[in-house]
Amino acid sequence: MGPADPAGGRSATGGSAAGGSAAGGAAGSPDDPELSSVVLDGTPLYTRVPRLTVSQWEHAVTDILRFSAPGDLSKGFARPPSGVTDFDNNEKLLYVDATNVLDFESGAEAAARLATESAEALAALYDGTDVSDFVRTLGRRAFRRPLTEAERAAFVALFARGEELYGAGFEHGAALVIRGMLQSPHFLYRVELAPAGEVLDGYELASKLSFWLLGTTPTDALLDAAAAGELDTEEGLEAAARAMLDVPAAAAVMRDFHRQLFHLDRYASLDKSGVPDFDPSVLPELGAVSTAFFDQIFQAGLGLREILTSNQAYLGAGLAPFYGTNAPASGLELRELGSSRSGYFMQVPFLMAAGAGADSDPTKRGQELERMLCAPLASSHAAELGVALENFDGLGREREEVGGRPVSTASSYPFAEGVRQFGDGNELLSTMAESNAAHTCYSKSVTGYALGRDMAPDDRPLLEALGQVSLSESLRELALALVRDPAFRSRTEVAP
Amino acid sequence: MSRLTLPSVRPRMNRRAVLRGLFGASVGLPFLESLPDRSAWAADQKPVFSLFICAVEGIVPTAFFPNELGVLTAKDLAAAGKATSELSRHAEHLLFVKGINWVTGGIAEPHAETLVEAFTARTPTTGSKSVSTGPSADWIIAEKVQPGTPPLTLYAGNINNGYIEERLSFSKAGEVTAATDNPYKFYQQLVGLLGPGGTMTPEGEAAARLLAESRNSVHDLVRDELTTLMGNTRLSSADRQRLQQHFDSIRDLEVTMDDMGDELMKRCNADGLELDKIDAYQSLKYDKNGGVEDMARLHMSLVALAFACNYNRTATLQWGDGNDHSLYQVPSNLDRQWPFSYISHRAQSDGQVGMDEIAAQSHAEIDIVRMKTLAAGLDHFKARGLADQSFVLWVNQFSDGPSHSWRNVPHILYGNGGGYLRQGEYVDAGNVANNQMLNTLISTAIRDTGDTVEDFGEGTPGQLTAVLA
Repeated sequence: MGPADPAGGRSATGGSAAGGSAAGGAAGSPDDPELSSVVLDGTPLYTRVPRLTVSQWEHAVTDILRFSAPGDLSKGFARPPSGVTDFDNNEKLLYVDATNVLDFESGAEAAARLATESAEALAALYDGTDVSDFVRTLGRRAFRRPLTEAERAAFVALFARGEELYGAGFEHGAALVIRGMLQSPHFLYRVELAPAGEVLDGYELASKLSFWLLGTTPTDALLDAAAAGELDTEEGLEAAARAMLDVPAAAAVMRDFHRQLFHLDRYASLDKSGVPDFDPSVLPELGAVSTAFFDQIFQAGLGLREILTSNQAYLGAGLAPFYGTNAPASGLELRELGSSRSGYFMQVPFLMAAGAGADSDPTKRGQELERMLCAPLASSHAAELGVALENFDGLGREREEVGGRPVSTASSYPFAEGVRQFGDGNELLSTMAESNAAHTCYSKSVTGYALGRDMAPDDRPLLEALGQVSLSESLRELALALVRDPAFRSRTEVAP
Repeated sequence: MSRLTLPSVRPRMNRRAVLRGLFGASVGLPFLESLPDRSAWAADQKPVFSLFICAVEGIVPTAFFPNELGVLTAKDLAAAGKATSELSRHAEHLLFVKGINWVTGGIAEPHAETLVEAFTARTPTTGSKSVSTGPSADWIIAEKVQPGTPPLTLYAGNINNGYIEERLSFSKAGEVTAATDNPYKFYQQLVGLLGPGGTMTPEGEAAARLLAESRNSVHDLVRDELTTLMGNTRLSSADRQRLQQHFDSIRDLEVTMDDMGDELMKRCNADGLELDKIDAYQSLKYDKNGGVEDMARLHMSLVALAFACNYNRTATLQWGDGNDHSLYQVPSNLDRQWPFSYISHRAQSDGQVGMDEIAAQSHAEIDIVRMKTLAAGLDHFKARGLADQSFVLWVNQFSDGPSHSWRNVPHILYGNGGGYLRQGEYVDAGNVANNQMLNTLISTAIRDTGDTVEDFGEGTPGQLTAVLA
């Protein structure tokens, strides 16, 4: 199945197509050229010095200094502006300005205090008194590569300066070294200095892989693997990635990815005030069941197809009435919903959020579905998708009529493959699950999040290839396919 | 150790950074008056402070400004029966301006694009993710008068669930400044500057010296590393600029903060702050019922404090967020409980507009509420003696809700900006683009540098003489 057939024609789809029910039955390619493929209009910088995100900073500091768990060292850090990029780890947001300098300075000082305030804390970090070896050991963790001799000497001198200022004592020198390393550009930026077009070195790959898949700095073992050249081959890198995907931290990263992609934070303050049968106490459950659903997608080895078509959903006592079912005895349960609901977009949380009070909002629902196709902004066709969900009201409850008239869910839409008619939401989502555009679009999001940059027209071949992986395999395999690709393993060519 | 025993070579540290490091964020009330070593500004170089505010969703034009141009008096303004009558107690320091347009109208998503235009005076990129094609006025001012200190960027509203999010302040094309929404967090930033109650102890002085010297050692090392990294020929020019920004930020951190004028310092105290309300934001979630107004008023009170303490010279405040479903409990909306976006659209929709008459009435009532809030915020500027040493610009992104019109957008100025701006009048700018207003205001704010700006943004260059004293 390829992109749209340019020779085909289609009729305009100004409204719901009566009686259309044949998913995939269809009518040629769109005459609307912007709808013919996934929009790739990003303007990546291809920076060699993307800064760690605040979350990555917190986790990396925790791991480097051997704290038991992430604390709240970064609690007061400036957050990046939202809504400018698709994800908050985009390179365009990750620089160091005056505010960040203050944040990273005070964060480093607080971390150094924690790491050296007791003999136990210091011993967990480094069990010895050899200053040069301490600098070498901590430096390798912080810089994610061995220190150069000049760097080692500079930090040994900084250790001495710490003792000079604060008095003799290993903890005084160590504290200043920690402060220095945690403010170093080699810690704050994930530096990539491989020649343009060439494969990154093992250490650079270890960092890139670890920060993407685990949200933190590479382990000592991964750095050892990098040193041994084990990440230099496609197979070796894939094996490392495969192992990482089984670590719980990977699930947390994928949760963050889906949280941002599907805007799950909005559920916490969804406003349905004045709507009968709506109790705001259900709000926490909306986010929790959605998170659980996407966790299940990743952990069960599923992917976009199931996001769009799964007949399973999590629900708790608050949401059960909206599904017309009995409540679980406690907590959340994964339930079979039967044939009336397919995938996330027919689950109650989405239908509530993309509703207008007690009523549906086909335009809003359609716009969110279009986003899954990476359709152009402000497409005039959005409502044609939303019509398919008209058998659900603004609280996500099934309904058969609106205003005394039978509800109509039949419509059509100019997909990349051509105009497709569908009789209801199930058919629409099945069509989307078979759509190259949907899978290419999802791959665009996965890749944009993984690489921390916008996706540009040059990325189209990669994304279409990854889309084919997504079409037939899981999110996990999609991630691994990306790891194997030169786009992940190499420096993208960019003019200096 | 007494203060006299401090090292003869003062550590290269910004006082803000020293105090922040010593006391962290969780301290009590500021000690303000006891900040040591301050000195007056040179008499001919008094700073001018500037606050740029943009509110959302338009106004009801017929019920907003007085009917006639001319002199504003407290008595006449109060009797005018308009929304701006709520500002009557500030009449002598006000300048109402009609006849100003954005440089271009909203193209694809006016709710986003007009916010971006308000203080950049440039055609923005289009869509709900609209960003600027150049820097905003606050950044121009900040880089002139306080290099290395970013402007304060504040937001009143539901930032996590707004439709547009923050879109007023841009350091350069495409680079929006993250806003602080929580007044408690903003207050803590100020407290970090101000330190705990009481005079700094000798032990505190010694700790400050050690901290400063150790920070200098770290900064020296980091700067060396950045210099080496920037020398790598594989880096693009954009990457070198990125690292240079980091380098410059460290350097600027070490530049001793401008000392403060005694006159203004007397007003650098916690008087008049609603500390209970600010404190409540420590755990309070956004309240869609009136939260935006509370936050706007508290932010204004804290900006006035920040200016009086010379913490920062310029700030922006975004007042609401298109389609964020904020509710105003005004009389005509009590039964319907329409969110403001519906009211502004005169239809029960975020995407459609209509002609609902009750909504028009509700909008006029909301304008009154917003002007009450503005008046309360200006009270803090007045109390801190800032009317003669600052200006506050209040604009709305639209002149009218349903039409989303970008022409004749309302402009309200408070303060004479050091004697530079006209006061106590309602004037007509003459159907001009807002770049001229911003030329004038930027020039006002940077007067102590001896510079003026004539060609900010797009549109015909020059000053807006209608607002000059």
